Amino acid sequence: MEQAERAPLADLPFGITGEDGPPDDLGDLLRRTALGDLDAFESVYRELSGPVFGLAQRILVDRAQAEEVTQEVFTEIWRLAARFDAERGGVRSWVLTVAHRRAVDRVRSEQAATSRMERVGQLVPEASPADDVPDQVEHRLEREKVRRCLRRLTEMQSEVVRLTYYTGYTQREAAELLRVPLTTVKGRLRDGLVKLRDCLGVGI
Amino acid sequence: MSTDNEVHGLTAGYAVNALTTEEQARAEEHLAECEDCHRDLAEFRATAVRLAYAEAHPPGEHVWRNLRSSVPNVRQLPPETAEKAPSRGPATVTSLSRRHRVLPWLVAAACLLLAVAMGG
Repeated sequence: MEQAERAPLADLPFGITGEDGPPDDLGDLLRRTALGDLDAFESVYRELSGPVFGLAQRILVDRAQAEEVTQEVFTEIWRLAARFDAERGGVRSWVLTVAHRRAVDRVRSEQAATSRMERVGQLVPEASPADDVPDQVEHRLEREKVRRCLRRLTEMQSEVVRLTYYTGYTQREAAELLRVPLTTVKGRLRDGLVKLRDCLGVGI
Repeated sequence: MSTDNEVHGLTAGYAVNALTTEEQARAEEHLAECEDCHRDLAEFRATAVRLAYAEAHPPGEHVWRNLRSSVPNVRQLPPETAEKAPSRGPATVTSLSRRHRVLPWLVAAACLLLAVAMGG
């Protein structure tokens, strides 16, 4: 009967392990959120709204839309808090997977590829004005570390990671934009993620 | 098997939501049976968490104020219990599972129609 619960597909959105750092109390805060505890929910929000919003803004570019997505994501977290299974993976991966999916769905449904391409073209080199936020020291360190690791990728690998994860393109769209075969994009994405994983010391 | 390899190669794309709807469905079918892919997926997603943290930036405080006043009116779903049919997570897999659940009913309905037509 335990098997029934282990239906593999059910694991996908939640089946995420390899949280960085020691196990924190996010799982506990989420359990309290599931009981309707607004203080616990606020703590979850304070912990994760930065990356959720930052990621959404990176993908959507538009601040107001990114804030809408942030609100949708946390409403979803509130609604589904009781369904999160800590044994199956980390809270951060769950929340950020939901956030990425939401932002990408919105960008794909709302914008024609051409207008997106124009806007993305404008912000290619740099788009993070967050370095002056005083209480974000650990975020700044993380940003520097990730950038260091991104620089270790080949140009094609880092382009593919940027276009897919940070821009919301499908692999096919990335292939078209970069004028390379789809198989090349697939391979570079995989290689890029593996290199990043190793460089960042992500372990399961 | 080239198709197997091809499907296997979808894990990275799946982890960063870079698949078309059709590829995504194939990836989910494959992931359901591929233990190694689960590990890859978990690691890729954990890596993606770091990419997201690198972009962290606080939203305006009104976002929290809106949530603070709206969520008390949002119904929280109960935990999924063991006796339920294989539990399905939210988000990306629902469309697939829904399709799987609808098909048998369609077949049953078609059979019934046929039986009625032939009987009458």
